[in-house]
Amino acid sequence: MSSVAHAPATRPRAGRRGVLLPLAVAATGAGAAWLLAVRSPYEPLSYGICPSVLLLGLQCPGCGGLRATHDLVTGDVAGAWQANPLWVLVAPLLVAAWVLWTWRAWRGRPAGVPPAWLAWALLVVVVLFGVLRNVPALAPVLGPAPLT
Amino acid sequence: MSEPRDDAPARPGPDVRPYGHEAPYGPPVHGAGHRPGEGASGPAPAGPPGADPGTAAGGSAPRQQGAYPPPHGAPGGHAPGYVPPPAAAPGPYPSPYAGTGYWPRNDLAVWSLVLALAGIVLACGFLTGIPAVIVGQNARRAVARGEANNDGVALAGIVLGWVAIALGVLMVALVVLSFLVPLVILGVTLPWANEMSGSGW
Repeated sequence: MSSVAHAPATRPRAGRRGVLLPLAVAATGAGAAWLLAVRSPYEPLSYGICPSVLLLGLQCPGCGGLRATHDLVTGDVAGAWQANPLWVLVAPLLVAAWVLWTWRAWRGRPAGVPPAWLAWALLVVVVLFGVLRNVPALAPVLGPAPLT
Repeated sequence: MSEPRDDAPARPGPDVRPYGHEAPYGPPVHGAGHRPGEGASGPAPAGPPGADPGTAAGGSAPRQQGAYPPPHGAPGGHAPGYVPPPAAAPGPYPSPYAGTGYWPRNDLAVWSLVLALAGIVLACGFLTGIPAVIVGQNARRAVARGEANNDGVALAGIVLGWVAIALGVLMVALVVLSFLVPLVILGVTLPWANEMSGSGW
């Protein structure tokens, strides 16, 4: 709290109370990762069928995300890259953002808002990724590897 | 004492600026740099009215020079019992953001809009639609506090976020109807379901 001396009042949440929300988010993510590690999404129909594939016949940018997460949790980075390379790149950034958020919450500082250009850049990247991985020539590189 | 939270949107704020961070630093320049009607802002976004006593940050004149005071409060908003500092600095610089052209929380509304667009375009309604609505509501609160001026963008994010959620509900309902219902009720798996069983997530 001493580091925010220029903003004297109204620092209601700091310390243990401040990190409750980050911890809840982390618990949710860890639970999902644990479930994906235990129940492999490589099993057919283990998590149902993706609505995007079923209804639109398209590989959305998240396609292969469960498989990639399963591989990341079990330590198979190469397999994760084959499932969804974008997620392999983004997931560590999300973890880093969570660490920063938790640290700031612990210190009683407000969570910073990432700049708006980052939002637009991410949207462009994700949409481009989604388009390109549906191009047949690029599907082996960007798309989820077909299940055998 | 007035309530900056409630009366701000109703004011015909002269500080309508386009989205962005024009003149982020330096001393506040009242009346300069106005570009009315140019931005993507919605109807009557609330510029921090010059007469409002201290908004969230309750600034005093020396803090103006820094012009990057950390905005108050986590994105979750203030605690319910939060009371703005009562007219701590009713001088010519009532708010640290008034007249500076710097809106430290404008990015919130843009994030809401982008999340909602992603939910609609990429057909992942729940995943980004729900955060879009939450972030959009935080953005509108920031507007009411005078920390942002793009209320229209925030509203668009909320509305489109709900649209994304509705699309997600629709897709899940279609999948359930076409896949799970035959499986559970009839005890059969439709042939195309077997064909597509490798098309996981």
